[in-house]
Amino acid sequence: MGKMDLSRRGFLSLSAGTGFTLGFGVLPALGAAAPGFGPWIRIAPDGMVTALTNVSDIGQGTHTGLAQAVAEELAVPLTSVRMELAPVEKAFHNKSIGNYAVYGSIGLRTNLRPLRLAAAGARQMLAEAAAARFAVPVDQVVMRNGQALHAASGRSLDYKDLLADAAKLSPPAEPKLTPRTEWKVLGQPLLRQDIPGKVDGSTVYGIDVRLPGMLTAVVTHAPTFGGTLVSVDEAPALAVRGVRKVVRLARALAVVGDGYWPASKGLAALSPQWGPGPNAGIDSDGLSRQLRDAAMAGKGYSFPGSEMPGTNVTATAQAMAGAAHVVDTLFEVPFLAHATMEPMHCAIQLRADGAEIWLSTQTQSDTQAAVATVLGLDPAKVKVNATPVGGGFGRRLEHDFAVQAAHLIKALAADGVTVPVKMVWPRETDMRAGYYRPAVASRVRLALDANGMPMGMRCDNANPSLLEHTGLTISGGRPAGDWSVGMGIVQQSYAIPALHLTWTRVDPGVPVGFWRSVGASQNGLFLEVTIDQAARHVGVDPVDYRRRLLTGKDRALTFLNKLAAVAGWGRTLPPGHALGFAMGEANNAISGHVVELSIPEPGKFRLHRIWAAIDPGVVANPNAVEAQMMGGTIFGLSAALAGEITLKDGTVEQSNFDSYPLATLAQVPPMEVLVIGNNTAAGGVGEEGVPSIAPAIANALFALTGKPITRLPLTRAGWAMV
Amino acid sequence: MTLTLNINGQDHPLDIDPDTPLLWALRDNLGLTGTKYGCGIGQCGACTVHIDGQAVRSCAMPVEACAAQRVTTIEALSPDRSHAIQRAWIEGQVPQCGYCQSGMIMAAVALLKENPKPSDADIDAAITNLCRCGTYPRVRAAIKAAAGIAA
Repeated sequence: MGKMDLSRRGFLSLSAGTGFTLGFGVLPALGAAAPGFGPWIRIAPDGMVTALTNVSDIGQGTHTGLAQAVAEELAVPLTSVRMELAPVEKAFHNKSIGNYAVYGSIGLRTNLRPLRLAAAGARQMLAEAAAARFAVPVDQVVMRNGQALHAASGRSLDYKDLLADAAKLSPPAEPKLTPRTEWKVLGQPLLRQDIPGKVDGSTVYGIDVRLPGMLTAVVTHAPTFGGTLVSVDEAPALAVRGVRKVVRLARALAVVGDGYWPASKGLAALSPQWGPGPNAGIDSDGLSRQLRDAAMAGKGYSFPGSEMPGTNVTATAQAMAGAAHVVDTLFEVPFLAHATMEPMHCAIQLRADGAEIWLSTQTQSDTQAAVATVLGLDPAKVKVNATPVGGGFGRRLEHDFAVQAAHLIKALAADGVTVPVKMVWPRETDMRAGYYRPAVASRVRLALDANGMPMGMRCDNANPSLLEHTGLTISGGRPAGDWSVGMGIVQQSYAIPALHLTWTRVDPGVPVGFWRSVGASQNGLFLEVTIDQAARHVGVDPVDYRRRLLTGKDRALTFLNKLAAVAGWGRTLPPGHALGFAMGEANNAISGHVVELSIPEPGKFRLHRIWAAIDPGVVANPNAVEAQMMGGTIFGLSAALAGEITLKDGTVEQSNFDSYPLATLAQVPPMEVLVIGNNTAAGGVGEEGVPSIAPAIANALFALTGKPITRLPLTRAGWAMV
Repeated sequence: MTLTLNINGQDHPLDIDPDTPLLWALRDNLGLTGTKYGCGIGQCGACTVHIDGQAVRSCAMPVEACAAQRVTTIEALSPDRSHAIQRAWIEGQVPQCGYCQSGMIMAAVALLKENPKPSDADIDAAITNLCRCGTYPRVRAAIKAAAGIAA
């Protein structure tokens, strides 16, 4: 393996005789927005290629997609490429976001092109080295399958025999990417590299990490957000066999034992007294009234056009005043938990000159900095081992649990404990720890002209600010207005000439954060239910109405037509059945759903089939994209059917999967996924399946009943799926 | 107390409290971390193992209740990922994050053992494991593929 050299020209470094590394920090073509890769590709003496990335694969298959890109550009088999997470060091931070994290479907979007350029540059240098050895012009050298070939003379050289020569060459200023029409590996539905380890139990997730002498800590939190630990008699826990310590943290209590079970048994034996803190009065019914009142008042922060593209306050006011009809709806959605199957955890060990942590995370650099702060260390002294992740969905963009582990080890160290500790949250602790999708009320008004076409739209939102609560470093800082309230409602292709968004911060003290698809998770419902109401007012089929709104928007219109066609929109349906349509745009991708449902008895609906479609621009691996659409759809379905976190007397009422039900296999009807790739810029796929499933269901119910769905989960709107 | 568990064909004498759920004996005492913790109340199925061939949620099964029985975990399903279900899972690209998949696979193996040609309704009834990533359509397809049922 070549030694990483971040200083020398940024592109290439060589450790004599051991292979070489490539990066492209100096490539001018990348511009300032590109990730600042250092030496990102290593080719070992045996020809194995290791490519580094600064985005974790949290289950989407991102790393296989990136490996396909490297294999394609380097002209090697996919089996010769392995992806590795870059060290958590400043030089490897993702320049496009200013830290080392993965969110907002940025995995392929930020890493695909830079890695392709790096690999293409390497291929060109290897080709030049081969040309010199063959003593032929470089355009007579064909690179294939890890070999440089000269067809006329029948000669060939393995890459591994060209490494030393290639390393002496200058990197090309603008590496030539393989045109899409010639892709053989990229874009193919190849098998994901991480899956074999996931069918035999050998993949080691963060919660599985075992270290010599390690103890396990199990944690419970104050029952109210901001509550404090007043007192606890430790004796009952210490009497449990295998319990070593009881640790009092500011707002939590931990029991440390030889394993999870003794620690958990010890914790259950305790009767801590908690102080209620400032948020003990939170009650979901009261909060709901507050949110709705604030949305109706519409007196919040008024977003300027610089923050919400398309904003025109005056024109929107004129549209409302001059409209032939205003579709006016008050929507409300609840807090939602991420409920990753692997609960939050963090293993931690203090070293003589620093600390080391092991965890499933989406946010390596923020975690490193926060743990360092607790321990009084330089961040560089905290080694972050980011393991395979048992689900993220945005919850692991927070680092509250890692900070807690740091406080825990600090307290234990003061108590003479020197062994590593793995802190694990029981499901109940995880479910009640906050950072939920914000509860939101929004009054949406769509002004229509005499022909039923939109003149302007005003959205008055009320919700807590995730930007205020999140521990994630937000590039651009924390603005006055929470921009997440515009996600999935601004920058849509629909012809809505003027927009005005306001936001009233109603913050009861419940930590909120990023939840798969973020603001689009609620705005998809708000916008698409509004559009269907407009179509009904005009007396036009909702898909035809959208066609009118998308005139001249080729990509969106093509998408709509393909989705409508695959679902057979307009066909004769069985009696009592209806189709519902919804779509949306985010992360440079377009996605949407059609559902077919019926209402066998009042208040109960049956979902017969789901069609999902996505145009993410570049399709690195259609099989993985299909999986993401299925998964996002089911994630959104869980939320739509029954997902809600509620509070009473400041305490979260849900605690486990019995009270926070997820959609089950039996509930998911046959689903078809259409994957469309039609341009060359990579868009997102991880979040795109979520926003449009709820409004597609809502719009099908609307088609059958004439009553719009304005509240989620559907159980709150009076609907149960059977 | 000492209690002997037969795990993956081997006897393991363990000094362990008899109320310890099998899940934690596997993970913490034996280092078999392929079996996952998800809920602790038998709801999610991430901890599914086989006890005498039956799919059982190990988080809710005290070790004292399985002392005389044969426990099989995901690690021993096959030596080389060659079990028909494992092959179908790879071929069908089922896992996403993968965390629930050990349990999902153990439940699927038990289903096919009892019912080699399950109907959709049989699959609905048997596979009640939760998956947050939403792999269900591929779980269903892979079970059918392993059973030789045309999709």
